[in-house]
Amino acid sequence: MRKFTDPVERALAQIDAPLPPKNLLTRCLETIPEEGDWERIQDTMPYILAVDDEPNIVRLIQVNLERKGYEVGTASNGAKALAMIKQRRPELLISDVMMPEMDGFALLAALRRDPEYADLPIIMLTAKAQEQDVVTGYSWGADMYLTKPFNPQELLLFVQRILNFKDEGDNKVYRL
Amino acid sequence: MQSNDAKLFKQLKAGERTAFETIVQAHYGSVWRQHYLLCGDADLAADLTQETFLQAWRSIGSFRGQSTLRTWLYTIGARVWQRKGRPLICRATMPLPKTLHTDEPEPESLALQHIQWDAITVALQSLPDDMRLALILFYRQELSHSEISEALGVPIGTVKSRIYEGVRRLRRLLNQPEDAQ
Repeated sequence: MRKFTDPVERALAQIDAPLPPKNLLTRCLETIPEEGDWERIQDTMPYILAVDDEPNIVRLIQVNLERKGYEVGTASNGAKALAMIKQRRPELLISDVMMPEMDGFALLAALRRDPEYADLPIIMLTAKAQEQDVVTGYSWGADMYLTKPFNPQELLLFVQRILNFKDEGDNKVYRL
Repeated sequence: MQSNDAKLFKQLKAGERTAFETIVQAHYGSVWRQHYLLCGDADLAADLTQETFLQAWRSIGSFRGQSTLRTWLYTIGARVWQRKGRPLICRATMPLPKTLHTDEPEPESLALQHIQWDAITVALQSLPDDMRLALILFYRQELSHSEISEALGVPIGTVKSRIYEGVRRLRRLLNQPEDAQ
C-alpha cells in the first residue's frame, strides 16, 4: 500500500466499504462464458476501417490498432472505402480528408446520407494546417478529429472511447 | 505484469474455466467496493460488478499485459461506472454519519483514523463524480496517473488536477489545514 503522511490522503488510501452482498460471488461466476461462447467472444474484436492515401499513415494506424487486438481493414481513398463498408460494416471508420478520387468529406457525406450508416462512428484525420477542416468535418457529422502528425496513443484513446460508448448504444454522448 | 497474472491470462485466453473462477474469486470484492464507494448503493454496485466482469471477458482479446489484472479490472470498472452507474447516481442508501466531526476527546492519531474513515466517506460523496472517481482510483485502488488517464480517456494533467482539487476540497470539508501535506 502507498504511504501518505497527509491525514486526508492517508484516510483516502485506507477508506473501506462493507463486505459485498452474499450472492455476489455466485452472480459474478455466472458471467463466465461457456466453452462455445468463449470462442465466439474472442472472434468479435471490433473491425475498424482505416482510409488514407499515404501508405505510412495507414500502416501506422493498422499496426497500433492490431497490437491492441482490433481487426483492421485499409483503403486508399473514399470510393474504395465506401465499397468496402457496403460489403462489411466496420465498428469504426478512421478517414483522412485529402485523398484522390473521393475525399474524406465526400465519404462522410455519402455515409451520413444513408440511414444505414448515419450512426457509424467516424474519426477524421487532417493536416495541422487545415484546421478549418475540423469545423467543416464536425458540422458534417464526424465524431472526432485528429490532426496529423498524431500520437498513436491519442488515436488509441479516441478509438477506445468511441467503441466503449458504442457498445452500450449511447455513442451520442460523444457525438460532437 | 506479474508472472502469476501472466499465467492466468494465458489460461484465460485458452478459455480455461478455472482461470476465470480464480480471477472472479480474487477480485469481485474489491471491484464491488470500488463501485460501492462511487455510487453508495449496494445493489447497484453488485449489478455494476457483474457488468464489469462481463465487459472484462469481452475485452480480453485487446489486453496486452501492460498492467496487472487488478488494474485492468479496476479500469474496466471505472468505465462501466461512467456509462451505467453515474447516470443513476444513487447515494441514498449509503449509511452516513450525521456529522463530519466529533467533539469527543481522543488521542490525536486515533481520532484521525477513526473519524476520517467515516467522515471521508461522507465528504467524498459531496464531490463531483469525476473527482470522486479519480480519488478512489488513485488512493483506494492504487492506479497510477497514467492508468487513470487511459481508463477515463482524459489527459494526465486533468487526472492530476482532479486529484489535487479533490484532496484540497476534502481538507476543507474535514477541517484539515491546507498545508498539511
